[in-house]
Amino acid sequence: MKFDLAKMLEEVKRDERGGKAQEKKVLTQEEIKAMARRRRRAEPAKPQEK
Amino acid sequence: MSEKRKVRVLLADDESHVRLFVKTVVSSMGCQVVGEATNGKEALELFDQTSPDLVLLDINMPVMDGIAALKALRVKSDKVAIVMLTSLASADIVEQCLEAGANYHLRKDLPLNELKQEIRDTWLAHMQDLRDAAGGAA
Repeated sequence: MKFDLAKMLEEVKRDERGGKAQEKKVLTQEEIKAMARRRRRAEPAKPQEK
Repeated sequence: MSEKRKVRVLLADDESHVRLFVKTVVSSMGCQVVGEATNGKEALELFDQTSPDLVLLDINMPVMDGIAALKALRVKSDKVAIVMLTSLASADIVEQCLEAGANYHLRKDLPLNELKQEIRDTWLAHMQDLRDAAGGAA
């Protein structure tokens, strides 16, 4: 019998969170890039450190 | 990268094979790796000793994780470029890192060429931000 340790660990962690199946979607790099761009647009350049 | 002076890079990852891989990648891009940390606390110490231009930070590390290190580094400097290089890439973690001051968030499993391009693009965007800020301040 084969064991998927990563899956088992995820199940243990999920149990620790209260058994709720909160699968978190892993973003693609393109999605991360879009998120970073949105943040850059929303945030004008801050004054630099002293 | 495109700078005349070599970009000084500090790496932080608890996995030695990842550090070796990233070191090889950034060295091949013309960067100089000035420090290698195995956790966030070491990264802070090495930051003070080496004054890097760019920090590549893993998130899951013992002693002090990458997000805590990111926050502490941002207190020390807002001029250093900080890129999270991690396998943790859920929306809330990416948001948390960007909110805490990370310049960018890279997945560790990117193809090599893409990884290099993303690091290069992030560095160039950071340099542009610094120039814009300096111009705005003048």
